[in-house]
Amino acid sequence: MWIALLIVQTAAQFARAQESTATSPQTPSSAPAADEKPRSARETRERLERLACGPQGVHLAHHTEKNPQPLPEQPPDKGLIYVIRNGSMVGAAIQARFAMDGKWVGVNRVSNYFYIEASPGPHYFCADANGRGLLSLVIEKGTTYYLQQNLTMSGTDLDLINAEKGKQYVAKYHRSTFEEKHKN
Amino acid sequence: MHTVTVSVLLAFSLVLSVPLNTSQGSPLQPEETSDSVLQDSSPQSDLHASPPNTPKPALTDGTPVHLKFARTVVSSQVIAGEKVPLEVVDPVLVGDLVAISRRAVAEATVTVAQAKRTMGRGGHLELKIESVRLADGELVPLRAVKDVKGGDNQPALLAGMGAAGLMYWAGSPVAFLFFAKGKSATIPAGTELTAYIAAEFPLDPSKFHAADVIPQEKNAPK
Repeated sequence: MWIALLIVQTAAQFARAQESTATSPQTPSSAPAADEKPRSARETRERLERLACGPQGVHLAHHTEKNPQPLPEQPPDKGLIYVIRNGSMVGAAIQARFAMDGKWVGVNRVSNYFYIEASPGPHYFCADANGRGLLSLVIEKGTTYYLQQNLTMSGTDLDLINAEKGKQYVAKYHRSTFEEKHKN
Repeated sequence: MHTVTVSVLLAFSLVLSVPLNTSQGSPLQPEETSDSVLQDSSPQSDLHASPPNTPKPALTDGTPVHLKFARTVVSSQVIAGEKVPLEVVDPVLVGDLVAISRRAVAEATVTVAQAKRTMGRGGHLELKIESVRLADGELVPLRAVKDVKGGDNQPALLAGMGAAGLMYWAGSPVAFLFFAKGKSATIPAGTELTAYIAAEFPLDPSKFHAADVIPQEKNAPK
């Protein structure tokens, strides 16, 4: 009787531990605790990379919509984020993946864009191509953001660009869609 | 190594949230009321002894608060959502009461953080000033400009220059924009700026001390 009770209790503790381990790295809107001791730039980058980038071993099959696509309306209770890759031919053969809060949410090739919605609060973004560009933002409801995946000769940047420029890009580029495929 | 100019953009945005003081959540005092209190130099004992109809002293909307960064902020060492401490440089007086003490704590939130980028391009850092703590422990919201109703902020854009060549100005009614030149996207500790109280805030005189010296005109809103 006691042994059976002990086994059940241990199993429950193990399950809780597994659950917390699986969910803790991807808490989407919780701000990191303010540290008493300032972090180094390297520690900050590693931390942001863990918060922002998606898991390894995920392949995103990309598709470009050739026809003009309707643009979404700005949701009043969320932020709307356009992710744009401009027409630069640097790294043209490379997919530029994009993750938010530890999950891949899109991929662009040259002259592509896609959009996502985000709840208000802090979010962490990762552009992954010939290197990783990281950015963190506090998203406000009812606001549109334009992020640009910028592939350069020495790596990948993720830039917050102004709305005027972002709208111009979205008007002339093609929307991308993707399908997630797991490698064996 | 690259010899480049790194631009740092810092924006301090308006917090439109209501005051956190739930115990004083009564309707706001009319402007004439606050002004009359601010111009009243009667001693604190008079305030305590005043009849019930006498209006309470109030921290008026637009009161300037001089702040400085309590520690250095570097764009590569912070993540959006984190808090940045500031402290009050000059006490803020209402009548002869110290509403906000010197070295009182204020807080800003990092809203955009980006480390320096490839090809020698600089980082990007934006902060939103949230609130300052009154002498009685309550928090009041702050904003970047004195008057949000004015609309035309262009003539007063250049607001000041802080340490290490850091320039800032009010780019809109809701934001300070900061630019810094140099390789590091850094706001040095001690960099000063002026924010403004973002609400009418009645004060309970029994919770505040009188100032020994009263440089009243310096901090009273015009």
